[in-house]
Amino acid sequence: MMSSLKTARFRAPLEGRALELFEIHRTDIYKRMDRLFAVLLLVQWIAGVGVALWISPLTWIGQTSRIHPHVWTAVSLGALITFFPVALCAAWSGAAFTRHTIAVAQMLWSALLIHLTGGRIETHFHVFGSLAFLAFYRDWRVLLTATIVVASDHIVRGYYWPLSVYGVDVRSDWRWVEHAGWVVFEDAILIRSCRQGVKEMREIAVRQAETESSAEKKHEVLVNSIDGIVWEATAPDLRYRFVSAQAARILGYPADRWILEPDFWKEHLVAEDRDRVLRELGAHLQRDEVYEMEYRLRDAQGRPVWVRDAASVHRTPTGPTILRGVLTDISERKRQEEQSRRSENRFRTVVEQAADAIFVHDLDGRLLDANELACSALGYTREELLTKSLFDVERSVPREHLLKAWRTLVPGKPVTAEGNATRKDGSTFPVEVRVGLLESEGDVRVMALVRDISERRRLDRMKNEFISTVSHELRTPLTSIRGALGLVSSGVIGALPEKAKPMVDIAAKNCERLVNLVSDILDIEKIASGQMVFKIRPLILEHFLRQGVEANRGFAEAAGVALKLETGDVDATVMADGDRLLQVLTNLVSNACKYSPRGETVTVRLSRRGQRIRVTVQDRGPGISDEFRSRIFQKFAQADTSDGSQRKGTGLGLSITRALIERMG
Amino acid sequence: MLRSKIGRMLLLGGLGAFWLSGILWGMREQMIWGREAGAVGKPARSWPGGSLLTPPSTAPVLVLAAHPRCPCTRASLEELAMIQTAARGRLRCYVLFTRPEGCSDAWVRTSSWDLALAVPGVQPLIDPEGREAQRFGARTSGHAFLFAPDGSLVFSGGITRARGETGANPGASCIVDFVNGKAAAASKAAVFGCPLFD
Repeated sequence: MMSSLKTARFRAPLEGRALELFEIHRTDIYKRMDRLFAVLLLVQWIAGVGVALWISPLTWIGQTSRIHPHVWTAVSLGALITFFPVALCAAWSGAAFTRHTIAVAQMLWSALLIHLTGGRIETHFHVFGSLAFLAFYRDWRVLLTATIVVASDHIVRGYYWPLSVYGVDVRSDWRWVEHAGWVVFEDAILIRSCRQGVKEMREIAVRQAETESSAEKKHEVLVNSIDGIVWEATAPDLRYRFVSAQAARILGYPADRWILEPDFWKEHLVAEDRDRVLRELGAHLQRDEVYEMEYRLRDAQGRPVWVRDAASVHRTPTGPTILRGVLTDISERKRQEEQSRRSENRFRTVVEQAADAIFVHDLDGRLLDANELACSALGYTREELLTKSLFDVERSVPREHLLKAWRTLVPGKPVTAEGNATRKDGSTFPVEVRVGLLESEGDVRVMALVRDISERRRLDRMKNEFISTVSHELRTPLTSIRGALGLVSSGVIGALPEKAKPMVDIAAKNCERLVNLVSDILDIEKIASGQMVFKIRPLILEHFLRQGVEANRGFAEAAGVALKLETGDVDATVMADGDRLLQVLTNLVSNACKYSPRGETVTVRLSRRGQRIRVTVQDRGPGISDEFRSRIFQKFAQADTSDGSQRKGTGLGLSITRALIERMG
Repeated sequence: MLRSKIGRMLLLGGLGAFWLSGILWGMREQMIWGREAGAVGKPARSWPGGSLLTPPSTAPVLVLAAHPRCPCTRASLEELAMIQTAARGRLRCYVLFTRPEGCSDAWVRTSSWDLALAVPGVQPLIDPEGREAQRFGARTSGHAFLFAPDGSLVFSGGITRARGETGANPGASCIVDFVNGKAAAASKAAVFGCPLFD
């Protein structure tokens, strides 16, 4: 049942794509056979001349010779038989007229060869061979034409010149029938073969059409799964031949409109983009290249939709130029780009209007951007500045230190430092630099806000000088007052009334405090101005610490705190000024005692950390709040206690401590 | 469109007809040329007296004048072989290969010579300047003369029907019939071959 259905289908007239494929295949065979016979005819011509030259090259009169007429016949008549069909092959290959002319020529070649060989019966096989070759056309009509020529030749020559065709002088009206009969016998076999060949071609065409149909369905599913409009158009008229169904989803127009309306695409280009897009497209078409364009098309609601059009140009030898591409909706990307551009503009405005010079550079120090203030502060034009690196601008800090510092930067946690900036003319000025990481689109940049602190430094200096002068001027009278009050309080110059004694004690304590404050201020000033002299010499740390602890034990006991020293087995010697280092230890221990609850222990500990020696002063107090931790070394900074009050002190101790340590290296 | 198609068909049809006519005319000319007989001299009515060949005595003798390089003569020699087969040894044959003045014997010893030499009962001979052929009255290659045992001429003419074409022909039939004791149908036939003399 299945088999009969299949047979019926193949016997049915071919339609549509199957018919088209069948015709393509058949025409291809016709053309190939035309080319084959064109070559065969030329070969036969050469062979015919060769046969004539071999069999009868010359004709003689006595001892005089000349070219034999058979040779001229082979050359001229052979050329006449050959070149007309060969010319048809060149001009109308595949045409029926060409095919049938070739059949006639092939049979005429049989006749000529039979004549040139003197009617040899063996040469008649050329007829049968030619028919077999002609059967490759798979067109039985060609065999019919060839047979008619053979039969006609045998009828005419058999009647008038029988020897030239039969090889025997038997004049008969019906002998040609026998010869033609053999030809017809062969024809019968060959025609059957032709019909079988055509049937197979039809079957192949049907199968191929079915395969294509299946492939087209898959192709359609695939194309429609692409998030874009797949299209194909001819160029340069830009007529669409295919537009995928996604067109309706993305732009709201059915795909048919693109194909049916000749200028659909051009008419839906946004006017501002039209000239540019057509100009670019023209250039791409001339260069035969894969191209991309971005432009706007109006959707069914009239809204502009940004699309990216990626296409390629395909030239065909005979047909029109084909464009194939994909239109992708990039509205969202464009919106983000616009937002990014606006953000960039805002950022640029902020940067340009900032009170600080701003530099943006990469992690290698190459300057990528800078605001106008940065340019004017350093004396460069913007172009000049962007050819420099940060190391050209900041020369006071070694490059390695800067690079190392940047690598420790954490996003969102900028670091502030002071240094010196170098202008174009080589002069320098002090700056405060606030450096932070800037992450943008996957790139990590370093942004430095640089503030000229020359004025601040000048004011600081003036302030310090003022304080120093005032302190110096205060210390002498204060010393006298402290001495006088001491004498009065001790009763050396007479007993004080009972009510006056407490008042004098208060005055003496506060005077002492003022003297300490003035001393501290003077120390800071000395350190800052570089006037403090350090006597650096080797110190055995254990001995030094033991003496220091003993020196402070009285203060600790007064505060109700025990003082303990832990040196372990650390044996270390340092280069330092003993008096200043003792001042450092005293400041730290007194701070610890002040903030420790009564009855607790303050521990001074000596320990080794690798190649380093660490001295730790540990108390049992409430600790330092995170908020205050960054300010503990600032001048006049004092932490609030848990009850909101402040401990007595100048607030300069830790500042002096840090300055002393830094100065001693 | 239609007119141009018809025009093209007419053009091709005209060209095809012209082409075919040219070929048919050429073939016809070939057929006619192939049947143009050569010149026939005055054949001797009896065995020529001055001939150096052995005259017939008990059996008929066939003398064939041949140009050693005439391509058509090969067909005559092939026919001669068939005659000898049919005569079954009752016929003595001479093939006189004309050697023009100034030519060597090597000029004569061609494939036709070899062919004649290979036929039983046939004696190829070099005929200097064609003197022997002239005695018999031959002027065209392929001219055969059949003499009866009494020396009288029985047949004079060609043993092919056309130039270079083998196959049944009146000359060969006449000779075979005479040798086999039948009445010869003809005593002469046209000769197809190259002229023996300038």
